[in-house]
Amino acid sequence: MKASRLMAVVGLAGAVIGSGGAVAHAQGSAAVLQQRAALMKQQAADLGVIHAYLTGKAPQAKAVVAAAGLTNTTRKIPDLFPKGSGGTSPDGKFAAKPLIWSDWQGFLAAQGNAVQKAFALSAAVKTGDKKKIGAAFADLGKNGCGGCHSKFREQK
Amino acid sequence: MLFSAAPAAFAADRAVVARGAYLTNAADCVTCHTDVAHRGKPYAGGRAIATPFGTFYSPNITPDPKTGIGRWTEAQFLHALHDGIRADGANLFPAMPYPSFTKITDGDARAIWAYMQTLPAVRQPNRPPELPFPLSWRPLQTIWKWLFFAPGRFRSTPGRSAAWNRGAYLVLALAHCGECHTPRNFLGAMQQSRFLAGTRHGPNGDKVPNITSDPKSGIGSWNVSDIVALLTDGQTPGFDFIGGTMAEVVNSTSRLTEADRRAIAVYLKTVPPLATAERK
Repeated sequence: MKASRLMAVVGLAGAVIGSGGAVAHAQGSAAVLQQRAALMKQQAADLGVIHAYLTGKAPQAKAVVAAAGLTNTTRKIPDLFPKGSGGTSPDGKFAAKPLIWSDWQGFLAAQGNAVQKAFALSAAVKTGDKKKIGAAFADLGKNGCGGCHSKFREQK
Repeated sequence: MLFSAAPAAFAADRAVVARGAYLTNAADCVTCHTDVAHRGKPYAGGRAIATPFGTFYSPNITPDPKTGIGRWTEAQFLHALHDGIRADGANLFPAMPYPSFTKITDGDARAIWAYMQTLPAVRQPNRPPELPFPLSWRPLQTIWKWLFFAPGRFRSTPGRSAAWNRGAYLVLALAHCGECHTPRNFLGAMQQSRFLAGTRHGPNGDKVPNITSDPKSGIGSWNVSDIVALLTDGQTPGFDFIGGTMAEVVNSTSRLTEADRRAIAVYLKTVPPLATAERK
């Protein structure tokens, strides 16, 4: 192929990929919002299982699995907040504040805090000491989840 | 004699101050009267509170004699809480929730005053509100009060439990929930017919939820324990954990006794249900 034709093909390919990338990014935003909402709902479900264990309605084994799940999902949170993915949740109830990206370090700190508390809860659940578990549960919820929501989540 | 007061008197004073500290937390004075966003000192004021009429800046209520309320008397403090009148005789704007605080008992108001005397004095001048004239003209508030304000202490409802009455007092007077959760008319007065039904035009443009007992728009499907869990840890029945301004409120409600949080819940369960129309 002649160099000029190669350049033309490369240029064309680049334009196609570039525009396709833009489309994918817009679609990606909607997908990211779905995934974000799904992760948060999964976390609520896992918290529910641990709460059920605390009130004698679920076995410890299930709570152990749920707590392990929380250590995983809290770690995934930054991946679900790529740049430009601000917007309202699919159920229309909440929105991610732009502060997340203007204070990304603060956001990561809040997330890291939640991860730590998720691990603490996971350790507590394994001991079976319900008083300890209750305290760790409240700490994760109020200060971990709530600590991030109070700064970075808007209620619509 | 240097120490002329009997030890019992000191103990009584300390008890009043301790009670005042508890009540001041219940009324959550510190949240409005501290400029957290700019690392302001507690109770020294300066926090911006945006409303549809303009922006208010909370005043300094530390005992500083020059810029705070250090020269006020106890009677003047009660007059401010109960009647919305400053020590210099000027009207307060209802951004200060005196329409709710008017219900605080005299004894409780005095205990709050006793506690406030113990706060560190902070020298910080007050910032006037940003209101368009004539709204900024304080004497006009006398007409607002004539139209919308009825001073008076809380009265128990006979036939209701002690817990219900305690909850009613906390909600209506000290914690002043209605000041955020009740929609306001065009002149900024709470619409009591829509008590706790929420609003899209809350302080700082926040959407404030409906907390009446309506099962769909409000918290009618919540039981007493659910409400207590929210006031303790910000936890909802679906295991969400709230954010926003209410999270700041939970900082203070979490410091109430369990009995007081239950009392609030018992009372809230009986608030008449009001549906909110869904807006798309």
